[in-house]
Parts: sequence; structure tokens; C-alpha cells
Amino acid sequence: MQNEASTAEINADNLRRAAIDRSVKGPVLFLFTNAAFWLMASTFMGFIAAVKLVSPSFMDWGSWLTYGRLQPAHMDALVYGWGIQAGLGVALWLMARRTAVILKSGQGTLITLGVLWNVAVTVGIVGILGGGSRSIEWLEFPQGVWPVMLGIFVVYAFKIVNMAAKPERTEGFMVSTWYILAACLFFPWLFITANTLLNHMELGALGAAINSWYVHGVILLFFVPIGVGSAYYFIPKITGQPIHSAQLAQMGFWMLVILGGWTGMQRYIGGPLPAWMPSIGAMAGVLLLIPVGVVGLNHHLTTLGQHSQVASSPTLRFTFFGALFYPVSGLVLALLSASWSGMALQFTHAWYGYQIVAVYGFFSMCVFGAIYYIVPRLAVCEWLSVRLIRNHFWFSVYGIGTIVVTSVVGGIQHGGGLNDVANWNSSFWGVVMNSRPYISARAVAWALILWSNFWFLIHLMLMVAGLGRRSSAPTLLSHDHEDLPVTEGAKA
Amino acid sequence: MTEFRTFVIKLIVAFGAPWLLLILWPSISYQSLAPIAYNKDKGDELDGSYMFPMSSVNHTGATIYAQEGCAQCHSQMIRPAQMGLDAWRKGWGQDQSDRAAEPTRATTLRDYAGEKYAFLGVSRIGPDLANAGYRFENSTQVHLHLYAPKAVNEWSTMPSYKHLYVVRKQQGPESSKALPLTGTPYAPKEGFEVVPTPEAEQLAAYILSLKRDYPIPGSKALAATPAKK
Repeated sequence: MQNEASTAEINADNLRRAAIDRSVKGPVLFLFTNAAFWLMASTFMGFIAAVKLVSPSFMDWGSWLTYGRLQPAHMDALVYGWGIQAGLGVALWLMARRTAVILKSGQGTLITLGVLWNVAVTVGIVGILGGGSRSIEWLEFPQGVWPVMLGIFVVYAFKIVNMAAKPERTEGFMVSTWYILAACLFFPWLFITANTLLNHMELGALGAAINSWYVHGVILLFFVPIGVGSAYYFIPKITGQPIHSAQLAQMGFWMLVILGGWTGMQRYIGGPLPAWMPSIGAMAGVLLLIPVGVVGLNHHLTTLGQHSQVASSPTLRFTFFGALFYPVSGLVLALLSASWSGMALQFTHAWYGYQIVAVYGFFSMCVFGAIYYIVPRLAVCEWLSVRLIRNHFWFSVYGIGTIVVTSVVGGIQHGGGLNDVANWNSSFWGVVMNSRPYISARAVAWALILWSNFWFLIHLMLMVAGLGRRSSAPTLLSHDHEDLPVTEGAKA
Repeated sequence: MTEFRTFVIKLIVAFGAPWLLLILWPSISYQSLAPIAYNKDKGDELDGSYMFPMSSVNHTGATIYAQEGCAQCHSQMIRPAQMGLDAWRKGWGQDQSDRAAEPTRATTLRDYAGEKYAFLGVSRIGPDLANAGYRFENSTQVHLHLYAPKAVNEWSTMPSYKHLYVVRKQQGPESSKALPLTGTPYAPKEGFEVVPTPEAEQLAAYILSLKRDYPIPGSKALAATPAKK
């Protein structure tokens, strides 16, 4: 009797889930596909920019491909084209599932706004390359683009927050909901503040400090929450283990939210600012080690003993490594913030390393994990190829690892070249020559990542087109689904 | 529902504090940043007051500087002498000689007054430009650096900003603006000359205007005071 009732319950649950998935299918798949395109574009520009840092005459096709325009275009495509777009997709699906709210209407509006977002990013990137850059980091897009982007984001955020405000299901642990709500609230706040102040007020050197606050804010209060929120959702879901400690989860969340807004100005330590501003940023940047460590510990304790699943589930594998990159990014931030190492690493390649480890190493790996879980459920077919997923994983891990390690190690050497007293008299020859091997490694890494991202995009597009595998079994990495005889598979 | 509301309020308070204290309040008080008057009694040699004279900074040139993304590789700030080598680095201050008598002074907030947005910079892949106005003797030197960086330092990884220059057929005597380029592959063909576009001229004027080392009022007196034991 009891058994029958629970079967009926499970069936109702499954139907509800399917209905939720169907209701957000259009916007989420649209955002993922376009985001994957921008990711590829950004990777491509990152590759050319890295080559140009060694050999500026490479692809010398005119003003639009000079390093000063290409590098910001590369970062902005990564941040706005890929990061925020994919992040919104994950947030929308995750919140709908968390709260069991079926999105009743507005799918068409959301897709239209998604189209507009992509138009805005295109205008921005073309604007930068065409010579309209404002040279305000992560805000280089020509004026007039940002209000459009803000409006679109707010509509999406409103839909997501609304689900949390009127949930259909209130039981369960809400930690991923908190993170996503925080991301939805803080990004527009940061974006509107930075744009209004920097566009409409004369701020001199304070402007640069606010810019740095904005960049750190977007990383710590948008990318980190989406990444951690997604990890907190998928790790327990796939391992079947509850989150190890609710207290640790709370502590990690609130410390991040409280410290995140104070971080950023340490970037200009020793600069033309009232000394308390960079000092407080440095303090927050180092203190962030606590929430980062706490979340890392919590994830570690949750996955303990479940590592075989990391090998087999694509989602868990990407999420697990994304979650591993979170403490790494915290460590790099602390190195850049603490005054003795911060001064040595100021204005070096380490800054690029931090941006990449945070936005790509941590955030994007978590989002890849989410995409590998979400897309089969929305497209109602399974991923086609284990090999492509494996390629994507290994190229990403090694590629990003290479970029981060060479940027930080290269940054230490770069800092030595800038600050070593013996160099008081030298030209920049030493700095240029010493950076060469590191930048070359960066170029090779981007080329490899480009290769894997290209196949990721194709794979994703096939899925969205509904051309995935028709099967009730998910694509797992531990065994091949190809038509190999069982014995052969076992031997391999 | 009330739980949700409390949660959102907590978020707003948590982020509102730094937003107000670190961003909004300093931005508003910056608007009333006042020049400091020089005082001869305190050993200042100058009259008037100290604030970087921004009338001399070329704002159109600053726009070109932004458009080309120069700040990706060049910073514009000098850290105090105890925090890195900036102050002692040859050529980063007013004194361009091999052994400068004094360290270049650290830049202050007032050095950037009048600039809408100061390009403190992303990285130092190239040298600092806070005092670049002293490094170049004239605009021709700047133009040479922008047009053919490798002609100045053959190891340079700075891109050539050829698109800010026009190669044109020489008509009559050579233009006074023509760049004195020599040797292949930099020099134009016989009978041609390279002249800067108005954008290049603005950019060069901007770079030449970067001189952020006006004496700070009272700094002489400070230096003359013997250190207390």
C-alpha cells in the first residue's frame, strides 16, 4: 500500500519536473547556445591577443586587431557574452527547479530579450574593435549599450527572484537559492553604480578605483554565487549525499556577501587614493580566504567517499573541478591583495591569471557541469559522444591550469622585473623577454581550449536541435555507449 | 514570504554598507576636492595653489588613448619609494638623468583632478606614463614611438599605430610634420612621406602633457624637518 502511494508520488514529482523543464526550455537553451558561441569567440580573441603580446605584427590586418582593442574585446566577450548569459540560463533553470515554479508566461519575451542581449554584446565588441573603447576595464563597451544590457538583466532577474518570492515548494535546504538571489540582486546594483558614476561624474583617479571595485564585485558577487550555487545544487544531487554542514554553508555565504563589496581597491595599493581605501580592500581580499575555505571544505566533506562518481558523471566531474578552482581563485586573490605580495604582483600578468581562474577556471567549469545536466533534460535527448565530453573536460582543465599557472608564475617574474632595485636603470627589455615563454604557453593553451570549445559548441547545437541520443540512460564517462561488444569494452 | 523579505533586506544591508561608504560617499566628497594653496612661509617656492593644471591635459587625446586601449599595457601612477621601484626608475620622473638626485614623488589624488577618468592602468607590460611628458622631448619623438616602436627599440612588443598616420606622396618640399624615418622597413618609399593624422597629433599632445609631479605644498618643509628620534 505504502509502496504504491510513494510510486504515485514519485510519478507526480517526475511529471512536475518535466513540466518545469518544458516551461523554461526555450530561454535556457537559447542562452546556453549563444553563450557557447561567445565563449568560442572569446577564446579565439584570447589566442590572437596572446600571440600579439609576443609578436605584435602577427595578423597585422589593421587597427581593429591591435592588442589594446583585442584584449578588452576578449575579456568582455568572456564576461558578458559567455559568463553572464550562461549564468542567467543556469540561474533560471535552477531557481525554477528549486522552487518548483512552472514559468507560466513570458518565454517569448525572455527569448526576445536574449536576442537583444546578444545584439548589445555584438555592438559592444564591434564598437571596441572599431575604436570606440572607453578603456574602463570590463566596461569598455561604447556608451549607450549598458542601459540596454541592464534592462534585459533586470527582467531576467525579476523572473528569477519572483520564483523565490512565491515558491511552490519550501522544504529542502535553500543554500543554492540564496546564492542565486544574491547574484540577481548584486549584478544590476554593481552595473548601474559603476556605469552611472563613471559616465556621468568626474572622478579622476577615484574612477579607476571604482572600476576595480566593479570588476572584483562582478567576480565575487555574480560569478562566484552562480558557480557556488550551482555546485551546492549538483554535488548533493548527484552524489546523493546531503550537504555536509548547514552552518558552514551559511557562514560561507554571509561572509562572501559581507566582504565582497569591500574588495577591489587594493588593486591600486600605493596609488593616488586615500590610503584607507586600498587597505580595506586588501583586508577584505585576504579575509575572503575564510568563506572560500569554508565552502571548499563543505564541498570536500560532501563528496568524500563519492569520488568514483566524479569519474563517471560529466556534471559532477566539471562541478567538482570547478569547486576545486574556487579555493585556488581565493588564494590568487589573497596573493594579489596582501600588501607584500600585492605590491610585487601589481600591474603584472598575475591579474590576468586571477580573472581567468575566477571566470573560467571556477565559474565556467561549474556552468559546464550544469549545462551537461540541464540540456539533456530540456532537449529530451542524451549527449552524443563521451569522447567529446572527455575532450572538453581535459582540454579545459589543462588549458586553464596552464594559463593560471603561467600567469601567476610569470607574474612573479614580471613583478621582479618591475620592482627589483637592480633594474632601476634597465629598459623594459628584460620584462619583455622574461614574459615571452609564459605568454607563448598562454597562446598554446588558448588554442587548445579553442579546439575543445569548438566541439562543445557543435555538440551543444546538435543537442538543442534535438539530434542527441534517444535513450533513457544518461551519457556517463565511465563506460562507452558505443556499440562495442561488452568484452571488448571491458578489456579497454 | 517574510523569511524571503528578511533575507533580501539582509543582502541589501550587507552590500549597502560598502556601497555607501566606499563608493558613494567618496565620489560625492571628491566633487568638492579643493586645491591646496602654496605657502612661502613653509618653504614653497611657487605661488598660487596646487592641483594638477588640467587645462594643459589634452582631453581629445585622452579619448584616443582610451580608444586604442593604451592602458592595457601602460600604467599612470607612481607608488611611494618604499613600495616598489617606481620612484627610482630611470626616466619615470622629471629628472631624466642617469642618477636622479631625488626619487620621483608618488602621485596623489589631486594630480588627476579635472580628468573624467584616470587611466591608472591594467598592467605594466610597458613603462609607466605618469610623467611621460618629460620623457619625450617633442612630439616627433612620440610619433616615432607610435608609428614604429621597433625602430626605437627593436625588442619592443608595442604594436605599431600605423592607422593613425598617413603615408602620402611628397608634394614639393617635405612637410614639417613628416616623420624622420630611416632604414627599412620603416622609411617610406622614395618620394613619399609619413605624416600624423589629427588623432595622432592629439594623442601625442596628450602624452606630452602628462607631468604629474608638481611640488606638493609643504613638502619642502617636510623634507627639511629632521627626523625625530
